[in-house]
Amino acid sequence: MGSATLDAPGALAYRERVREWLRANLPDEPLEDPAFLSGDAQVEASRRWSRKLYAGGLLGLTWPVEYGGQGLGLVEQIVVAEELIAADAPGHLGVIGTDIAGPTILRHGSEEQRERFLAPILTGEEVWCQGFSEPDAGSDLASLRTRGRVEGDEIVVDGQKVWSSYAHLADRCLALVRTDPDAPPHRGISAVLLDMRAPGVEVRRLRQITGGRQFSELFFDGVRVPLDRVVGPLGGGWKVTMTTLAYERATLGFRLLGRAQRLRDRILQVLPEDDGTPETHALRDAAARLATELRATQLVNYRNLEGILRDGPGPRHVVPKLQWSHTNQALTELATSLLLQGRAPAAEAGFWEYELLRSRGNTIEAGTTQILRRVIAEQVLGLPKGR
Amino acid sequence: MESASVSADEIGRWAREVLEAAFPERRLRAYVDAADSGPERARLTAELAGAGMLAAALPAEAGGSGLGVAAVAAIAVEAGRALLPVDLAGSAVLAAAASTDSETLRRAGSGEFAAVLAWPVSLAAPAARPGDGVAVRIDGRVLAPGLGAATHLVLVAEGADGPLLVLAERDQPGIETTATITLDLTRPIAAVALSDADATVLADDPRAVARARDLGALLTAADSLGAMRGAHAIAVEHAKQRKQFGAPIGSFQQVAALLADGHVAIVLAEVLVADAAAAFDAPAREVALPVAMAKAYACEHARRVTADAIQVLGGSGFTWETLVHLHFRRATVNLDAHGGPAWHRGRIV
Repeated sequence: MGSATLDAPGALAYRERVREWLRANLPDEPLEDPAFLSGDAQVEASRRWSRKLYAGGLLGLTWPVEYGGQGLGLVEQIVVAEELIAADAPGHLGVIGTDIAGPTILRHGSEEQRERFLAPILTGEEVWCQGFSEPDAGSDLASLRTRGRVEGDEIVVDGQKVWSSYAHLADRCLALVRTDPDAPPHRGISAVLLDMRAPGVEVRRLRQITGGRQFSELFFDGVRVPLDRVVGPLGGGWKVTMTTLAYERATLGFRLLGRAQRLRDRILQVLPEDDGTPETHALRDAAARLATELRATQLVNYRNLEGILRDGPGPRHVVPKLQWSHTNQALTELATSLLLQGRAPAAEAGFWEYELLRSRGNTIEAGTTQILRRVIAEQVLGLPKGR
Repeated sequence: MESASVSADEIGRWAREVLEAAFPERRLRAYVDAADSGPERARLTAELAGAGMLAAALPAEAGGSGLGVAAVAAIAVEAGRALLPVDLAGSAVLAAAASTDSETLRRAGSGEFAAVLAWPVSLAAPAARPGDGVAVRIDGRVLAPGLGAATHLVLVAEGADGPLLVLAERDQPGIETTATITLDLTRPIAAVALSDADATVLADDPRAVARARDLGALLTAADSLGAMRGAHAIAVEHAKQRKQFGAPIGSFQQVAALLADGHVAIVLAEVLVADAAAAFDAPAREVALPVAMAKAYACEHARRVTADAIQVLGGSGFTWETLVHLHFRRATVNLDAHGGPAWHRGRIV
């Protein structure tokens, strides 16, 4: 039982076609998760998978056909996101391009930018990263300090970015730089399309608590970016990126739920039957609680979908991500207990260790729990702004 | 209020208007402080019956509107929000038991009797068919919100040959009130002991009996949702108005966080209650799982959210007169009525 929109006959037929494609085209050999790629062979294998997804029509769902997209809607995008997860399909390297950089260029870029950059995102020729957060600008992103000095027909970029996923493999970077230090913070920022191969760009990988090195520090030392690589108006970078991120949240809820449902299913497979002991009861009670939270979050996603299709994304729509982050952490904790109690196979220890530690990032990325509570408090409940 | 094609949301808005007019805060206050609340409850019952609220779920031939469970649940949410002393679930359960005779339904819908659902009791009786008037030996004690005001009991009785749904008049030998719990000031709980009672069988099909029991659980979840919405709204408004240290307390992170978490709980409870109600109205769906989820989640979180509302109101939240303790009392009683959270979670995995 789902949403009227997702259960419409057209959407169901589309879902079946996607499932069929995945059945026929999933890679035979397991692909390393993009977080753990090491060596050119693995990177090339990941790129091949990106190209295959593109050839199968599973990338750029909502992009216009003239730029290589499928010209479909949010519904199809959600269906593909859900089916990729349900099939345990490998992640793909181009995700920043397809989900963040591409939509930003599509919505706010010039025609020349669209023609130059969109298709290579979909074909996997160019891998993108984001240059947003800085060591001193995380939740308070608008305080960013990376400088973009306008000199003639170029912008000279100096500064540092952090938490940039896939930067070590990227060809391009969607970066937020301060082009007008005298303007109010939100209005002096520009979004630029930066060439990662340009002189002055340095990438230093960061090790996450999971052991992976998915993201990096980026150092920009006098990097020259042509003025025609500014996306949207000069000084309009904040608005440009925030509207993109708001739309990204629309599918984020569905994607996250899909992954959590897979974890839940694995937990249910090893959950012990009720044997009357307090320990078993506690495990089963926790599993039931989390299954309820997941179901509720999914129902909120469906309800939000109707609202987003009608009015666009809004502050109310942070609820699924907020709830999911807590539920997912609890799921990985429950699974770890099952593992350490010998109830889940020891062979899965690596998998669950990764999930447990990775889940600590859920309440930090894409809006910390503390920030999202503030968004709800101020923008949904109308409480006065605080500190 | 017309046909079943009206949406549940519209029914909810209608119910809210009716209740705001019939049971505004000053009436709630007077009700809670009255030495004898019987007359006020009778007046209120008559008003709601006149507005068609009690008969919402009943078929047209019994004077009702034939509304589905989604609409009845929407009304129950508003009843919880208004802290209504009149129980609506009983007549809904009677309506759901297909063999309840029209006359009984009509009387329930007009407010002539207050039927409250309670379970479980054990039944020692020969197998009986729906419609049978039986002298059944019902053993046990039941407690339920609103039982203190009930004229009739709708009982889920576990018999040797399977469960039965039976209707018994409260005022008879063999049914004795042993205690009254007034934790929820709007719905006194009677501890009722049954040793030998005359009852009418409403249903003997195990599935129908389970559905009746689950309907009671769902409407209690809806009641809790309403109670927590009401308390949360009071707390949010207070947080905007109340100033300390030169600023509205809603601007302080700890206060804002409590209220934001309350909002999330309310949103999740809303979709779970709505989905469980939709399951009743969709012939292809089972109700047990969605009801278990809705009951466990909504009732548990309602207790927390209403407690947090008292917290946000600070010292004044601790006063009788501020009334937000009524929401907390109601949510607390709902928690263990018709199956507590742990019992319902036991049905989920």
